[in-house]
Amino acid sequence: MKEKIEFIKLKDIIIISAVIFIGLAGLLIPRLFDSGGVCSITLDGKKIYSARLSKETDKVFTLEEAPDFVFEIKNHEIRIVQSPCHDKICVHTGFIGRPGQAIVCLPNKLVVKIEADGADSGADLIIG
Amino acid sequence: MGMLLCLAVILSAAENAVVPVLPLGIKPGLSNIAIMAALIYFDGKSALTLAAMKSGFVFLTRSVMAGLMSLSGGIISAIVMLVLFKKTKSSLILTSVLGAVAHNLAQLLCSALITQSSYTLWYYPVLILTGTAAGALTGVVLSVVMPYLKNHFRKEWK
Repeated sequence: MKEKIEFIKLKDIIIISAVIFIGLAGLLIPRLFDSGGVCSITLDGKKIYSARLSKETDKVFTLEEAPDFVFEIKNHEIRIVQSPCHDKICVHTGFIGRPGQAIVCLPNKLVVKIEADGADSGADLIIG
Repeated sequence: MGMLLCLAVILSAAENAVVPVLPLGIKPGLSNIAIMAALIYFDGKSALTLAAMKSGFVFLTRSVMAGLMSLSGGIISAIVMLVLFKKTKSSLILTSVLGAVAHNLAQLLCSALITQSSYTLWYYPVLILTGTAAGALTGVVLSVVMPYLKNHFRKEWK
């Protein structure tokens, strides 16, 4: 082995910096669009409402299928204002706004859920 | 070469012992040290064979999934490093870093194919960053160790 192996060259710093930049950009840019996503309300497993939070204006509303509930959308987040249940845990949960979050009213089988855009039932964890 | 395989296997095993301590998906990639050594002291074909054999070892000792992931990452990474090191005469650190990043991204792609889901692909920025760090680390380790390896391989070198 006669040839010398170089450890590092100037252009490498540039290339590696670019790679790091791409990594950081990929990490940070989605953060800008974080609040939003699609929220859905299901009653007894049946979807009764769906909306893209980022496009919704502030509003308070009820749904025909769940007349005793009052929902509120504000600042692209949603919460349950009123519910007929006894514990009112769902009400106390407050606002949710990011994909993955959910409000559940168990006695009434009502779920308010936020999913990421284009979410599919992919694996949550890969081991290996 | 047999020495290198032993080395790759030991590094791989040691690495798996550390994994539970680290956050998800972040692997030191120590076995790449052996692959690079194969590239430096032997040739590209040896490096590829080494990567394949190491994946075979992973397959035998862990699982089909793990073996597949190791194979996809290892082969692609070895090819990238081969091209970088032999063809374009890149430096040690660059091959190490890009090899590590390639390894991670190839595994990411493999996992997406296996799960038939694009959901995991969103993880790529983290993998790029950890790959860079891991690549830098293994490159440095190799450069430190190289003076000692030279003496050994001189006898095996044709």
